[in-house]
Parts: sequence; structure tokens; C-alpha cells
Amino acid sequence: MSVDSAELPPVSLTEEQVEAEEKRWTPVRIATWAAIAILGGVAWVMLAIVRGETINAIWFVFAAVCTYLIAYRFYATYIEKKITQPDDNRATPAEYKENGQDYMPTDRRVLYGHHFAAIAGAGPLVGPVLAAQLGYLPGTIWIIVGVVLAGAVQDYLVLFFSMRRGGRSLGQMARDELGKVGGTAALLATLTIMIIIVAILALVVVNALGESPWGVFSVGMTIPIALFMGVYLRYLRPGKVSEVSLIGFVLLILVIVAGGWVADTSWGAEWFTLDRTTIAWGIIIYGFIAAVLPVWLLLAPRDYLSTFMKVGTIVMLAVAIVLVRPEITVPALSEFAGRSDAPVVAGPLFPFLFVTIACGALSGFHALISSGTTPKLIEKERQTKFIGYGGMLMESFVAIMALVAAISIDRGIYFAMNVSAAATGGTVEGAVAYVNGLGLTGVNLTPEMLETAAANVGEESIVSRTGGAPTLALGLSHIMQQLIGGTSLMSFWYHFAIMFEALFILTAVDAGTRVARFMLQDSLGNFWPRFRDTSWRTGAWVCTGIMVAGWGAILIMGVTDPLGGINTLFPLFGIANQLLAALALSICLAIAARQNRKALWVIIVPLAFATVVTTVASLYKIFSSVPSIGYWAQHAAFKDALARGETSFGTAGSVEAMEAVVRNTFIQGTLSIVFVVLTLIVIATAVMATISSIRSGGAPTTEEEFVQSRIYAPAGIISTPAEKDLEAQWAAYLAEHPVERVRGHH
Amino acid sequence: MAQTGAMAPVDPELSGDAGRAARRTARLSVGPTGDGWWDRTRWFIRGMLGENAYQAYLAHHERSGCPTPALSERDYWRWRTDWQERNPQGRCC
Repeated sequence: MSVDSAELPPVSLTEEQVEAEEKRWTPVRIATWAAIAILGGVAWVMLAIVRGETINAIWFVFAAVCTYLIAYRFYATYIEKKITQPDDNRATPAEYKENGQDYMPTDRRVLYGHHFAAIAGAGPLVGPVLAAQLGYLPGTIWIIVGVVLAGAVQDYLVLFFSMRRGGRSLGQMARDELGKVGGTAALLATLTIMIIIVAILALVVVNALGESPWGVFSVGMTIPIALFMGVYLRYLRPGKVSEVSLIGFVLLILVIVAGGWVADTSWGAEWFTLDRTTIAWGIIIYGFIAAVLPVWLLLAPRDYLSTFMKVGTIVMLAVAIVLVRPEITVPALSEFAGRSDAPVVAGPLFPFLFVTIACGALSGFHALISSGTTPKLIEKERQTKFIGYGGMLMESFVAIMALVAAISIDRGIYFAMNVSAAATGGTVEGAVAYVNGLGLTGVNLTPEMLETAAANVGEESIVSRTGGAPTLALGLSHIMQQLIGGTSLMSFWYHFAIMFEALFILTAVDAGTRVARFMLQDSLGNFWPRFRDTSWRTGAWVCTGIMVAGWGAILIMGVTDPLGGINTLFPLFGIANQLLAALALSICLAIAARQNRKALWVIIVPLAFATVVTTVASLYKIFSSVPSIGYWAQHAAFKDALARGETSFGTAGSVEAMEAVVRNTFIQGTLSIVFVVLTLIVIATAVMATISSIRSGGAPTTEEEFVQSRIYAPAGIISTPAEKDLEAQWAAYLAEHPVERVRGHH
Repeated sequence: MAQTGAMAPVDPELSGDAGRAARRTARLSVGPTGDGWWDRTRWFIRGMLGENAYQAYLAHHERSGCPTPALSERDYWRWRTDWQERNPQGRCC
């Protein structure tokens, strides 16, 4: 390009400088990395090999953080060299398309926080809780190793490739790389997967709020709070985002406290004790209204509040775990690790551990954030490693903390909370009999334990509070009360945690419905062009209605399912999420092959693993003859029972309930087939595109044209000496050259 | 105030994306207002919540040399949320 950059300081370190920086192994550096490696190694030995009565939670933190540091420093750098090969001389879309709106160069540290807040949600908090039934070790290994080799690689590559393509979305990249068939299959898969993900997230909230007047009141109050914040920002003090978030936060704490008083009054208990079906309908109606209301009124303020709470609570939990250092009594491998009849999520460890914990280790949903939103804000190409790979490491750390919180509570209470009401009967006696009947070593549950725990957190009962959120809330309150307030504050912390999860799940429900509606409008636009016009009210309402009906139907199905709902549906959530990851990785593979990159194994390994795990899990769900695992086996068993004229079967006590199971398993089984078929089509087309690229030694690039960069910023969180030197040159240059307008630009 | 950066001399013949990029400033992102920990924390939180968008817009507007006056803060945020209305951003599970 003919841009004359002679007068500017360099916009990039030279390759030699980068190389020299990496190879500068001073004694201090060697000692630091050796210390990190040794500490990490010791922590892993403590977790995996040493078998004491208890294990301190601090070892989880050390094992995770040391492994992340080493992976980031060495493996992510390897990927940078072999696959992405960023070039800081190249302007990013944020620089060459800057518009003061979505394309805006953003400081890397701020963008890291921004990106993290967008990718982290309820997923990494729920999955590890459910997987804790297998003991702590399988989940810990998968969360940490999975993120290093799969999750962070996916996020980084999608972010980088999307950035090189002007911030194109995953769907658009699929069309560009895989042609019409692959692109259409990718779009359909994404759309159906989004529906199931929204439905199951909503189910988590319903389960956390069912029969809990305190929770219903305080979470319900977030709607007027958000509306108030929206009006404040629109009319009173535009742009004062942190001010209004702080006001919102104070109001939030007030309604959490007030929830306790309200639940104690007779009218409060009467009005706000709602059964799960009613709450589910409430969320469906809310979801529709939230998706058609103006963004400024509800969605944007709720998003600020949710970001505020999310980051604050996660930091708080991390600090608490480090300070309290709880002793964990859960075994490394539980009795269920080697069996396939685990009571929370049924099925053998392989593949079900890997679909139960999706977010935190590998989450396909991130590919939708890493393409589209974040790539338009990146200032310099070399920052993608820090934002993409580093951002996902942080989410993995959140999952580890959720796991620690879940295993810090008594194992008997854990099972009493997480086994479906179909098994416990929903009563304290039923739960005690069931859990003690499992024959777990060291577990001796008494009715008093369950009653005390429920009373401590201000709930009527904690039996069969499935879905992960209540268990996490109990674990968090258990850790926090040791730091602040003792047992008298446990109920506050519990409801604080429930609020924190409900808040960002509802944000994800709003945003997910809206995004899905736009995708649907875009697809329908192929047949009926008017649907493309997103400001056409009728079209918007129809498409929103279709999307809400889609996830609403699955939500109602989960809530009324006689088999326990979340426990049978959660694997479908994990499978859907991992299939999306496989889809994103296969697109990355096709792109890397097109660019003629050599170290394709970096992508092939996680892609193959995700494909095998999800395919095997889907096959289990479709073909397993064990009714608790296979949807169709369950379907057939109930159908046969109905045909024999029986009026109750298994946990279903009536003909209607039996018919519900037949219907639900049909839908779940069908969805399993649809997901796996669509994704295999996408992967097959991607593999074909990859092979053809490898054969011909690469293919014409789909990147946007090179534009010379004229700005500079360092790559990582801490500037290296060479980067500091360059920053100083720029500071001096800027001091000499005040703002100079360019005439003739629009 | 935000760092608004400087404009480097630009070849007036340049057009298209290359020309537009060339007309950008040297330092684009909004930086902290001071070096103290409070300034930095405030800057980080504001940035993460997206509060500094208006400052970034103003800096962008000034550098672009656009002859029409910049939007007021109120109008900018309206423009921004109206834009979000048409371009929804996903939030993750």
C-alpha cells in the first residue's frame, strides 16, 4: 500500500523484536516460570494423587491458575505463530471502519472485561455443579485441560478470523467457506441450538424460583428497577451508565433484603409462592414483551446491571475462596464415576461428563460473541490472543470456582438437592431415605440437616431444588458466611446468588430471543423479502412469537416433565452447545487450510474430540436401550405401558403424565437427531473444503484487503520493554502533533 | 478528559478504506484520565460498561473533520440505543 507512514513512529514491533522478547530467558524469568510449573505440578499431585480425608480448596486455584499461565505463555503463543500469524502493520476493522458506534478501537484491558462479561453467563456455573456427582477430579481435569486445548482455542481462532473478515458473523463465515449447503445447515443448526439453550437457561431460573416467595419477589423486582434505570438514562441523565448501575445495584440489594421480609408475611407468602408452571408462563410472557420493547427501556439497563453483578460477584467469590480456603470432603472420584446410573445426570462418564460441563471448558455459544461484537472493537491484531484465548481462561476459572462452591457443601445435602422430585418425592423423609439408600461412603443424611440448611437460607425446603443454581447459591452462601456475617447472613448470600444467576439468565433470554428473531427474519427473507426489513413491526412480532413459542414449548415441557425436567434436558443443552463448538471449529479448520497453515492438528484435536463426544452422546440419547439414558427407549417404554392399558408407570402417576412422557421424549429424541445430522453435514462440508485446500496448497483468501495501520498499542496486559519504548515514542510524537482535522472527509 | 490523540499528515490522494484509515489518529482508544489507582479503576469500569462510548464518538468525530456539529450526549445515546435495536448483541449462556 502506498500510505506514507514515514513520519509516524512504527505501528508494530519488528519480528526480530518479538522474537528477541520471547527468547530473552533471564535468570529471573526462568526462576518465575519454574516456580509456576512446580506450584502447578504440586497442586495437580494434591488433587489427583494424594488421598487424604479432606483436600483444601486452595489447590484447585493453584492448579487452575498455574496451568492457565503456562498454556497462555506457551501454547497460545504457538498457535499465534503457526495459525493466526497476526500483523500489527495491518489495520483492524475498528481502525479502518471506525464509526463511533460498533466499530471503535477499544483499549485491550477494557475490551478484555467487556468480552468476558459477554461470554460468561450461567453455563459455567451450572454444569460443574451437576458434574460434581462424579467427584471433583473428572470435572476439574476437563474444565482445565478442555479450556487449554479446546475452548480457548476456539474462542481465539473465531475472534481472529472474524476480525480479518471485517467482523463477519459465524453464519456469514460459514457461507463464505462452506458454500450454500454447509452455510444453510450451519444457520439452521445455530437457530435450533439457540432455542434449546434459551429454553434450558429459563428452566434453571424456573427451578430456582419455584415455591420460593423470597426469590420470586426479589427477581421480579428487577423488572421495575431496570425500567427505572432505562428511563433515567433516556431522559434524566443520558450516558451516566456507572452512576445508574450503582443506583440499580443498591436497589437490588434492598429488594433482596426486602424479599426476606415479604416472604415472612402471610400476604407475601400467599402472593409470591408460585408453582413452576406459573413461573414458566410468566417467563414466556416476559420474554416476548422484553423482546419487542425498545432496547433502551429494558434490555440495555438490565445488561448494565447484569454486568455489574456478574463481575462483582465473581471477584467476590474468588477472594472468598482464597481467604476462607474451605476443606473439601467430596472424594476425587465418587461411586458413580465408573457407573452409568448416576442420579443427577444419567449416563457413563464418557461422554456425559463432557456434555454436562460445556461452558467453562468448551462453549460453542462463544463463537457467536467472538464473531460479530468483539472483533469490531479490537485495536491491534496481536491483542486477539489476550482477548480471545485469555478471556476464555477466565471463564474456565469461573467454572472451577463454581465447582469448588458446589463441593464445599455436604455430599448428602448435594444429592438431596439435585435428585429430581420423581426420586425423592419432594419430601425431607423421601430425600433422606433415597440419599442414604445410595450407599455413599461418608454420607449419613438426617432430616435435621436438610431442615437446618433450608432454614439457614430462608427457604421452606431445599429438597429436589434441581438445576444447579440453588446448589451453587448454597455453596456460595456457605463460603461467604465464613467470611462475613456467619449463619445469620446465609439467607442473604443465598438469595444474592440466586438473584445474580437469575439476572443474567434473563438477560440471556432477552438477548437470545432478539438475536434469534433477527436470524429468523433474515432466513425468511430468502422466500419473502419483506421479512428482511427488521423495522417492519408485523414481521418482528411474528418472528419474535415463533422464537418464544419454540423455547417456551420446551420450557413448559421441562417444567411439567414427570421424569424431572432439567436432569433429562441438561445433556441436550450440553450436546447442543458442543455441536455449535464443533461447527465453529470446523469453519476455523477450513479457513486455516485455505491459508495453507501447517499446524492444523491444533484445530483437528479439539474438533475431533468435540465431534466424537457429541456424536456418541447423541447416539446414546437416540439408541440407548436404558430408559433413563435413551429418549426413544423411554418413549417406547411409556408407549407400551399405555398400550397395555396401564394407568401409572415408573414415576408417572397418571395416564396424562404417561402421555406427557411419550410426547416429551418424542420431541427430545427428534431434536437430538436434528442437531447431530445438521452438525455432521457442516463438519463434512468443512472437511471436504479443508482437504481440497490442502491438496491445492491453499486457496484464495476470504480476508478483507490489507490496510496500513496508523496506530499503536501493546499486545498483552503488561507492556514488554520493547513495547514500552514504542509507547514512549508515540507519546512524544503525540505531544508534538496536536489534533489536525482532515478536510474533505464527509 | 480523554486522550484525543493526534492526526498524522496524510496523502490527500488516498481514498477508500486505506484513505480512511490513514486519516485516523495515532492513538484511538480512550485512556484513563490520570495515573492514580482511582482514575484507572474508574476508567476500567466505565469502559467495561460502555460508558465511554460518547467520548470515543466525540474524538472520532473531531478527527474525521466532519463539518456538521457532533451529536449532543443525549442524542448520541438515543442514536446508539436505536442502533442496538436493529443490531442485537448476543449474551452468552
